[in-house]
Amino acid sequence: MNPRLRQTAQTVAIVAVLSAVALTTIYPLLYMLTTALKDRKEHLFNRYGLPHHPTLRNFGDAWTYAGVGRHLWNSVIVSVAGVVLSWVVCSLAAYAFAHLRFPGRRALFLAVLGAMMIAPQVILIPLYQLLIRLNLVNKHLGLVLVYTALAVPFGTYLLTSYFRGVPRSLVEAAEVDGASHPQILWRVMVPIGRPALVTLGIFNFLWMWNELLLSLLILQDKHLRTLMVGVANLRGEYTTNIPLLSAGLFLAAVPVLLVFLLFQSHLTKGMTMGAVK
Amino acid sequence: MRARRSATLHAALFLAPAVLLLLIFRVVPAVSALTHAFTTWDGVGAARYVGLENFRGLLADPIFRQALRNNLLLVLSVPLWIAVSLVLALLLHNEIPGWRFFRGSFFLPSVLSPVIVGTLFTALLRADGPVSRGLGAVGVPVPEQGWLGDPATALPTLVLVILWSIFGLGVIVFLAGLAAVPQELFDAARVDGATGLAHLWYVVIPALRHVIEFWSVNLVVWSFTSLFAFIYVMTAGGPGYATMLVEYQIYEQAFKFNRMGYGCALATALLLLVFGLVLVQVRLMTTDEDGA
Repeated sequence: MNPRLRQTAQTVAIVAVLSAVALTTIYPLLYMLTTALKDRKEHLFNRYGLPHHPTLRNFGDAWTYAGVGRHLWNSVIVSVAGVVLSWVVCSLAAYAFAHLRFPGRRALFLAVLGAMMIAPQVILIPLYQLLIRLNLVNKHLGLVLVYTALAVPFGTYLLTSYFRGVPRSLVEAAEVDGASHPQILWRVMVPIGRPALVTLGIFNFLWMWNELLLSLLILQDKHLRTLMVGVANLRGEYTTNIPLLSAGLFLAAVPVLLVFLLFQSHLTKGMTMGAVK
Repeated sequence: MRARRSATLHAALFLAPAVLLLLIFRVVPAVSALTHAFTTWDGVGAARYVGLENFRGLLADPIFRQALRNNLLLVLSVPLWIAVSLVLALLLHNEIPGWRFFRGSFFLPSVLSPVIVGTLFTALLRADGPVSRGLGAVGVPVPEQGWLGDPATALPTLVLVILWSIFGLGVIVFLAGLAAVPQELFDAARVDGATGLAHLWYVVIPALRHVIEFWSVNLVVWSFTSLFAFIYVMTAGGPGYATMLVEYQIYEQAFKFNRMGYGCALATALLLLVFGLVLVQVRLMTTDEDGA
């Protein structure tokens, strides 16, 4: 076989393999969407085909009766507050690690990173008891603080390595101009560190939006629940109404799908931090 | 001298929020979990010190043994997760037509919540669901209770769902790793006639050693600490205890049966399992210039 023909054959084979894998990731999502567009009757008779009489009723029902609307709002509050608070806390810490000289800096940096080994599952029980005592159970604030505490190690790590790349001369020039440390952080670091901050924000938004365990424990009140807890409960209440369940799932996935479509490159960068040096 | 003192003062102020949050919401509860592991405690009344009783209980607890076995089986499946992601990354690396689309579609599942993935696959994997229909059509026997309802198929099925949700992240990580390898290395190997498996084994894997290590440790830690939502939504540890994992058992003991002391002992076991692994992880993430 001549080399060019072989090359083409190889490319075709590779594309075939990749297409098969892509099909397995896309089909389940398509199934979810097409099922959500059918009414219950059509779902019984036409389970796998495209909907013949597409309807948006399931989305409306999920939104109002199943409480998806309210839970979505709770998730927005918690994730956005968590993202903003993490930005503030991690930027402050990263500035200190990257540009201030103080005794025990390296040890403290390692200790902050090391806090990663305390997984939520390990501290679940005392954490819950502590939150009861601090009167933070069934408060959005409680979940936001816990999420931020979880976000600190990686966020500080990411921003520290980014801030470290900011030339020392820029910081010194600002100091000569009489800028204080908070001013240097706000006027020099934050603008330069914007790509890292965006990456961190997206990354934190996604996991906070998607998180189940802590949310399940901390926000038990039906009105305060986040969307993932709401969706996990839908599954129990609407086992027989697959179209409504699918509509709820789809609505819950929309925000992350949007983030995915808009910020794919930022996301990729955040996910590979630490893997490649 | 004054400048240095001012720097230390500022550092203390700048670090205070991060350090306080970590202390209050992570370190203090961790210490509390360790101490309560030696007590019986219902979470309401006072905890009573019982020495090593919980740990003796653990060793004799058939559910814990099953959970530990399942966790270890998951760890054993990690090489499969690595291999799938690595092979796909290699296929994508040469900018095959449509590679952007493929990369995006592989990445897509990993941004979805385990709650969504789990619920979706529970419907897909029912005895009368599309997966069963597809496999049944080509002659594969379908378990009567569905793929997640049969004790023999539940755990392998769960592993495949988890693989579905994470492999794209591995592809992204390996693509970043491949992009950092000088192209000449691959070209030189090609000139030397390294192809197929030999190329993979002698050229690619050594060049990516660091990235593969990083990702393996991540996956192993993740398999111990991040699968709660999958279990909660898909199987609740069943059928029987076929898909019970240590992290789910903690939740169940503490919040279903109010056995907080025993739950803390389980948590301590989990901490010990993960502890060493995270040390390795931090080691891989920090270079010598960090914090110097």
